[in-house]
Amino acid sequence: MTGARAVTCPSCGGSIEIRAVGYTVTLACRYCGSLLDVANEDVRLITAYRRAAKNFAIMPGARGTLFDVEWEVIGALRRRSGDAVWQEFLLFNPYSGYRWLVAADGEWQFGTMLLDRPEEDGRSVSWRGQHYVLDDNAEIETVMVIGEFYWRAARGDKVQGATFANGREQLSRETSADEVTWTQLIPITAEWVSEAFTVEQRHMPRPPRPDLTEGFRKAPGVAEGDLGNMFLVALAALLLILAVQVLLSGPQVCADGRATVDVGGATTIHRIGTVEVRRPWQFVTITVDSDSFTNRWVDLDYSLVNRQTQQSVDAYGLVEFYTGTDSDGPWSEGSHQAETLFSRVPRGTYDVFVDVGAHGWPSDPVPGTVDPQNPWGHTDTVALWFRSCTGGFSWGMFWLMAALLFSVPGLIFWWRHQD
Amino acid sequence: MSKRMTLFTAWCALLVVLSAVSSWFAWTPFSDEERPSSSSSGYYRGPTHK
Amino acid sequence: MENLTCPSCGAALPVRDPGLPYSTCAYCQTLVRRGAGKVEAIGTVATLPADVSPIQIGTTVDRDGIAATVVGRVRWGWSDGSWNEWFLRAADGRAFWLGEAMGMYMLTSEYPAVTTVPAIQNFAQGNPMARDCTVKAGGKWLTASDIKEAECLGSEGDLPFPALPGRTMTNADFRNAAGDALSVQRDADGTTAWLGVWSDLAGLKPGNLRQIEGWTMPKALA
Repeated sequence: MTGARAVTCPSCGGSIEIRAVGYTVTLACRYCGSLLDVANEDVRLITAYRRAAKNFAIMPGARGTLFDVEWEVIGALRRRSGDAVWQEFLLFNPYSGYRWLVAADGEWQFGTMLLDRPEEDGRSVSWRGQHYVLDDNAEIETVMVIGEFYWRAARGDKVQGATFANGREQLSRETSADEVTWTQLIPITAEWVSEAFTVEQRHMPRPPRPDLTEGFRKAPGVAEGDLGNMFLVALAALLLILAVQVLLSGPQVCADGRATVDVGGATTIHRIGTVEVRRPWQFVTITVDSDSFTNRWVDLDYSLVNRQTQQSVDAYGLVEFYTGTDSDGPWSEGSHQAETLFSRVPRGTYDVFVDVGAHGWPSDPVPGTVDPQNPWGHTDTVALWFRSCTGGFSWGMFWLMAALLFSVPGLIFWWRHQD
Repeated sequence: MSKRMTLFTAWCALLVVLSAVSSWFAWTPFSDEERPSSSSSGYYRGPTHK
Repeated sequence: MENLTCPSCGAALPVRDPGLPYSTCAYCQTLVRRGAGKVEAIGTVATLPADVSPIQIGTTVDRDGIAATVVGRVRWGWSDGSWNEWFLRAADGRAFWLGEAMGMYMLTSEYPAVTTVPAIQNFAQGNPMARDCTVKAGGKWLTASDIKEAECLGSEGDLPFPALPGRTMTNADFRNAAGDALSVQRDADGTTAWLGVWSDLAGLKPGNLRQIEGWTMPKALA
């Protein structure tokens, strides 16, 4: 009794050998690619195609020895998940059954279908005392078939494929409408495969183009569970950044000062304290509080003047507060407080000066007129209290970091929910 | 841990280190030194309320 | 009973298992019933379709205390394929089935106790078996994974029933995480349940395997 059975393709008339006679139910003609039902004696055409796929790394019919067993490649599949495309080869030996050879990203794996089932526990499984963690979970589509198969293989077949990893060993779970199959995949060197079979290197699936955003977006399989963790990690990092910024900006030493300025008058210069920067570089923060004026603004030009070098570091502050009434009712705008941050102030002792100019809105008050807001006021003045401190907290930096941290999970979230 | 989670954690760690370094050298892209001062003419003062 | 001949063609009929009533003549495919001292032809079985099964009549297996020899086979076909059921006898007279599909094997012995389970009784009364139906057999929980309507495609050797063309049965396979197997078969004669294990060929410690043309038998199995 011969091992192979010859059939004639009803589509192209070509003569094809069935190798796993008795097991094979579907055959993709090597000449025209047509899908044939060979489960029974009569050969039926399932789907006619015009051309068979040729560009597989190993073509069906090749024989080779792996793990001391001679295998014949009897079928080949090209499969796709997202942008990843790879090839799977069905190996057959009548005494040893079926095995898989998987070529992806230039690497090879040898697969054995499991007769027992791993115990599933959420995102990990255990099998024969080993623990495997979920690595990938995505839909897999078969885009091309050639050769013979013991199931109803066809182009366009879709299964949900999950991969669980323990080191370089993997368990793959494929779930279709009909059944769940588990396969153990172990790495095998390209040299071994090349020694066993003739491998057409130019038809090997190419490693996907490195595309970080794609990997982050799709990351087949991790898609489901890690987004929440990413937000948590981002939040933890932001809290750490907050603590680091506060701790590394000290020590904080403060000096108080005050000034009173006429509204509408010329700018006046006041010395409002002395600060000493003891570190090579430090922030200096000046906060100002004013009395409760309305419809005034106060321009504040600060200068930190180094006592030794007389060099100055300048920064700017503004206090403004306005009220009014419009069709929506009364409104107010501004604040009686302002904070000014100096960055990169070198070591040294600094006198703090401020050049203050106060003005009225919409125009400066005319001297001698009675201000209805302050009818008994002698002159229209604004009182200011200053506090100059070494150290400081850059809210701008903080929010920049927050944006950089949360943009990654935020973008993934947006990508995932836009369709 | 997945590959992208590892990458993301590394990114977070990088940002923490960056913020520590910038804080130590008192550097920030958002200080008040470079804002327009009162001397610059034509700068509007008053409420932006409409 | 020692020197039986085929009533149809006169060829010698080897008696592999005197306890089995049905035997197929290897030359003319005549199905023979052996009674008390007489032999009668009751039909012609279909020629077995070719396959590359490594099992043949005379193959021995040895697993989990089961040491038995293959004495007959039925080939069953269903809408999406076909499989072999090999019938085995141990020296002590116990009977086993060895199911063969997709290069894997299911070695089972009869386990009548499970037929009293309501789900199996319901199936035995002609009702469909629900997939994912879970039953307990031999202290193990097993889940129905595969239910097939099958038709006899051919047979050979000695068998406990007449495997004539057109004979049909419904087969429900149960399995579990540990690799246990339960096969419940319903046909015109009734419903039987068979409990055992899934195995690869090497795990059966087989002897006297068939030599398949074009293939070398692995040393471990030869």
